[in-house]
Amino acid sequence: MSTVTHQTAAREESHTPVRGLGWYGMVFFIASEAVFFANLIAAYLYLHVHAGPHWPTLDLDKVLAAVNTVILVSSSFVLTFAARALNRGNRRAFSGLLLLTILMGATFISIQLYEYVNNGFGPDKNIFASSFYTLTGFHGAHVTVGILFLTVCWFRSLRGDFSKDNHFALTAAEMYWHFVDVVWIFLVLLLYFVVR
Amino acid sequence: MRFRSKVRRIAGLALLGLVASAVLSACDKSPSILQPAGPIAQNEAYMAYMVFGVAAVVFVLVTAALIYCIIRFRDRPGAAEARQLQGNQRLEIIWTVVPTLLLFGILFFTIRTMFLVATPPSPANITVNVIGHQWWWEFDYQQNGKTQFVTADELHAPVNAIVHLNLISDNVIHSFWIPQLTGKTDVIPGHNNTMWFQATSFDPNNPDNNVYRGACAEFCGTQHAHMDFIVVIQTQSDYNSWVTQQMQPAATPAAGSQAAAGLKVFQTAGCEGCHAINGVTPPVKGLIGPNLTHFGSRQLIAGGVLSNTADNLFQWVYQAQTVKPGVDMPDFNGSAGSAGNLSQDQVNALVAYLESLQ
Amino acid sequence: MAVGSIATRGRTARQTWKQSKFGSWVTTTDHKKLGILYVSTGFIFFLAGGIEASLIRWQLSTPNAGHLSPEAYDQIFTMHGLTMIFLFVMPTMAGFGNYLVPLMIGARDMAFPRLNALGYWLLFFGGIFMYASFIFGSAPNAGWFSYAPLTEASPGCFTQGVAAMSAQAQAQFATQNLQLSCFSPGQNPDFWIIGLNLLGISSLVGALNFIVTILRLRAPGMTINRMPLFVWMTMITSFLLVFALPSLTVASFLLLFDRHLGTHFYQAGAGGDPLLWQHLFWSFGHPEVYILILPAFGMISEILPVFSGKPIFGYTFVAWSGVAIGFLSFTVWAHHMFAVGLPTVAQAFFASTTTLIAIPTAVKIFNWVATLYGGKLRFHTPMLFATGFIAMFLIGGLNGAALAVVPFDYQVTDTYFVVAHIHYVLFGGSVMAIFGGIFYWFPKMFGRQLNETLGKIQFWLFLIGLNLTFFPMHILGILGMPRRQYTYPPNLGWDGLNLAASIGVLILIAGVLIFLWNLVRTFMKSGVGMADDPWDAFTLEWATASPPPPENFKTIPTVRSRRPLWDMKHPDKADWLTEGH
Repeated sequence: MSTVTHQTAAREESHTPVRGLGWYGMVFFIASEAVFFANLIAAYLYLHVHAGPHWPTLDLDKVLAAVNTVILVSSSFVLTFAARALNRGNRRAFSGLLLLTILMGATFISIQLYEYVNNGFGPDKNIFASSFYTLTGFHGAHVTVGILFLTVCWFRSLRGDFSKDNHFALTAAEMYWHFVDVVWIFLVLLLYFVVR
Repeated sequence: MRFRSKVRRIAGLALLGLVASAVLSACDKSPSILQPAGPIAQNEAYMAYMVFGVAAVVFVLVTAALIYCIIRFRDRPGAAEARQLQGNQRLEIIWTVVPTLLLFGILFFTIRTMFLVATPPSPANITVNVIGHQWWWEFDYQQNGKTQFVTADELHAPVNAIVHLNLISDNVIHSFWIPQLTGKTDVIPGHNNTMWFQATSFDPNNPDNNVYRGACAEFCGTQHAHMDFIVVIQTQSDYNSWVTQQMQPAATPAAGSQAAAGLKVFQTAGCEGCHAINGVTPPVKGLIGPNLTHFGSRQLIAGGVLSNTADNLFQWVYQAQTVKPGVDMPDFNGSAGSAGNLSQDQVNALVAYLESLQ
Repeated sequence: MAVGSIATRGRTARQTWKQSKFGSWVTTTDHKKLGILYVSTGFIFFLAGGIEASLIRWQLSTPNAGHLSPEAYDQIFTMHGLTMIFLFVMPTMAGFGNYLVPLMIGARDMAFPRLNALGYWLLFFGGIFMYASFIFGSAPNAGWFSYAPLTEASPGCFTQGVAAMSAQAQAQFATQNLQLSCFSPGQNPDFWIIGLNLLGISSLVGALNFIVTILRLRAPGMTINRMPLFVWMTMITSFLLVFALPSLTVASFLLLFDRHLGTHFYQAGAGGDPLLWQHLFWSFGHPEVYILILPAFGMISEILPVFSGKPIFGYTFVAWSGVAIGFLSFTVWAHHMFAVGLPTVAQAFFASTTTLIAIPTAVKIFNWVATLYGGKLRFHTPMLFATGFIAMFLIGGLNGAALAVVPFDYQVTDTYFVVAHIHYVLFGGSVMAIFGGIFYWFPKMFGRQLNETLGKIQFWLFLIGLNLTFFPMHILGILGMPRRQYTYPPNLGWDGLNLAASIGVLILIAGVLIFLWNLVRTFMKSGVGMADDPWDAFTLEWATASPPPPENFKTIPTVRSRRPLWDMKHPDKADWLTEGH
């Protein structure tokens, strides 16, 4: 294992903006995740087309969804600011902004759960309800994993684990968080606004 | 050396076995796709011959090249050193283009035949709703969009008639297949699949030659293996009289006969819960078991797996779970899980009644 | 003080455990040890799947046989398919990849050694989980494809069925607790879903590891176009896994939710569609077929050149035809669905893509034959398996191309013809390649050679056995025998052919027993003193000791051509003198 690290280290010495092995691993992992959501969305659209005029719709709280979207998308920006703070060497701002991201994510999940409890139908209601809970549920699970990931980073930031040159875990968490955000934009458009 | 001769002997025996079994098979009546009895299966058989022909030629050529190389270039005393060839672009382009042309030639015939068998040449003469159950086939003959009569396990059609089938399932996916008449189409819940066939060959001397075996081809649960049916091709007049007979209500047994006692058993043992008999039971559709109005006229029972003899029927009623484990038809022998405890006399009476339903 | 000593004792205990023979294997993150673990695990499941195959052929050797109940048969044929695909071929290929890729590209280990270990242990426990289902009597029983709605739990058909009954019959059903057969209320599909997802994660992390390793850890001079073809094929396979597995995950989770959370994805009556399952499953399932065969292509493309004494014919064509197959494999899924009633135009589209994918496959076969041409062929056991592979895979390719002829497919899909096809591809193809690979790389892994005579006997038994088993199945399909039947009636012309197939399995069993004996003999032999490069090979894995030291290479070699070892041995005729000029 150590030899591998040496190798990478050697590569990094030679030219500056080289990316670690982990970065590549993360890219392909996220690619696979993207295909996962693409399959879910394709399945949703397939069922929609298959049902034709019989496709059922249910009342959803669009305002709440819009608010939630704003929260999640902003959290991505906050996280970017956090990473920039770290690059500037401002560790306090970094930890604070990271915590803010986590809280925003938690708010998103809470609002989502609130919606689950109060929208008055379960996954067995009809095929739209099944799709709604499955798509948002999978997304919510990913957000939750993202929150855990960021929380670990936050604790590590308190311990001073990260520096300008050494923060791969944070980079990975950041990549994941942005990905989860982008997925949400697709889902919210599909389920709440455009293709209902 | 000894080992080689042993290998040869085993290979020889195996080949002999294959040939022998193929010869023996010829005595049996296989539902072979290469013995078509109608235009669809005929067209599909042409495609089979074409593709076998091409495959055989390619196989022989490539294998010959392979064997030539193996023999010619094997390492032996005095063999030439290997030539360090990296490749040959022109050659490789040739052997990319040639199979491409060949395959697209085949594709042309493929697509032509697909459209050829997709739609019948003229409007349907008869329409049948084919309903796939676990594990038997129901045939619901339609007239003007309404049920004329229903039967099970055997489909009758006049020779040369275009038969249109609506494929219906409300449980799992089945696949309807009559190898000598048409390839298969799946029977899928929620999909209104259709298919058609036409039987053009007819043997006026031996009606057995006008009966074709069909089967469910999609795995549909425990008794997928036992979901067969037959297609009976008849002259128009024979078919007409069959239809007339099927539309009659059930025959009433003579008072005091064994069959009359059987009718009593039918009405008291709970058979009505799953089986209808027109004129005896209330007209309910969608029951679990087949309609038995003209049971005695059928050649097969139990989902097309037993011939319709009194003996087989006795076994079927008495201990269906032994004959076809997992089937919805319960035992009536008083054993655990059976639906009732009928005496052998009662079962015999029931058999007599059902067989009298011509 | 006390705390400290306990900690120290803990640490020493841990160290002893890690240094013990057993512990060193359990805790290893070394790609070579993990590779051997993968291959051995795969081999054990090969034996399990082989026992299941033997039971299937025992039951089908005669008509109306009663050796297995229908319930048992359904579980066994399903587990046979799952085992051979997910627990034998995939892990074995992953094992060879693990062992060989770093050695072939001149790396010290995989990119993520600990992830590598995770992948193996997920496979290990996933396999045990799948097989534990037998203990509960509920092994998956709806085929490896597990079509919905047969795999649905919904009691819907029961309630509908009962509702249609007369009041009297309803009462009878209520009092006597009769069961109506309908879907799959048991746990069988749950074992399928959870088991395959565990194995899926294992494959995914393995694939990510291969991709990053191959893209980032190649030795100096080892450009993409100099990589051994086995590395190429492993890379393509890994990309296929990364992009195909999600379809399986989605399909199976939707089924899980249908079964346990009341969703309706595959329920026709409630707005879902059973065909959604087939679209999702085969979008995974067809790339999966290439996941099973591409690494075999890679192995063959390593073995043939070495024993012909010349480079592969048309390296670029072989490599890029693999890439073409990879891309096309995502466009052919509905050729598994020609009988489901898709519009004729859609079927024509999938017939065309299937025709397209046959082309790069044909190209590979021609290139392999041409590799033999002009060579000096040494017929050691690996070479026998490799040439046997060409002939058998050729049959699998031809009967596969036949299945793209849609009107013919209408007739033979879901019959024994397809069983013949997949087994010529997977047994004639993947299994022959795997055994060729085992005989070829065994000396690399263990520093000793398997017995050649026994190996050759095994090869001939395999070749004869597999043809006797699977060739008659073509004819069975043409004679109208559907697949997945636990029994069949006599007098339909099927008896003799089925018996022949079952006899073929006995020959295959003899071959496997001889291999086991070969293994035992070879490991019992002591003090072998084998050369590091017994086959006079070309690629980097043979440039180090056999077995290699933990760090693989004392110094990372610099590569100047596709055959670095040939260059070393023949400096006057080195490839790099001519390559690229």
